[in-house]
Amino acid sequence: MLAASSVATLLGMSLAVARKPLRADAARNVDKIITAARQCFREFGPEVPLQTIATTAGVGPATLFRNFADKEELVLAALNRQLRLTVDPVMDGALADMDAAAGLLRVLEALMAAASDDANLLCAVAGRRELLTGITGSFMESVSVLLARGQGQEACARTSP
Amino acid sequence: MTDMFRLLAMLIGVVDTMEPGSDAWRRPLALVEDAIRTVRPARPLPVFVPVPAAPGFLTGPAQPGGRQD
Repeated sequence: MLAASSVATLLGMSLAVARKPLRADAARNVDKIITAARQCFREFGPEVPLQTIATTAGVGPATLFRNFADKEELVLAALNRQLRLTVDPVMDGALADMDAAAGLLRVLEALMAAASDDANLLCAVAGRRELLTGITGSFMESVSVLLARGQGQEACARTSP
Repeated sequence: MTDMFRLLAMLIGVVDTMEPGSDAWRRPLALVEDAIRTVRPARPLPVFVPVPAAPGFLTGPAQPGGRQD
């Protein structure tokens, strides 16, 4: 079951999991681990052991823990990558679109597709509000811009942004 | 917390009532679109996908109530 905290995690993810630049080999390992995490969560569910993820990624447990302190950090990184890959480009297009309401709906479609694809990742961070500390909502800010523009174009109802 | 934040939270919660990776969210998203647009779009609602009958899922009616378009 998704808790409200996981919902808020997804809505506020855009600025989450800031990382300092990695060396190329370290960056490749991070990429492999995140890819394996998405695959394992999809196949085995949110209770999948980190050892399984490391094995699937082809790295040792030490490499996984060097990059991710715990499962929550890995889950946040995986969610963050997917939002950057799938939602951010749609948001950029929407913000440049003359039809704000149409752009807003495309953003919501992309967000829901990402949430559906990685439902087990979301489930894994349910009920842990402390994960949201320090996360700001650039996604929601952009949604607010689109909604306000849509209202200005008289295409969106008076929902508060 | 704004109306829009809560609407999005409600929408994402739909994922909790469907198989991961399914398109069941398309219908509730269309209903939200109907709610926030000043003019309702001239298109049928996406097909209703029943809530899975498995432990952990919310139980719901076999057939959707309300709008059937």
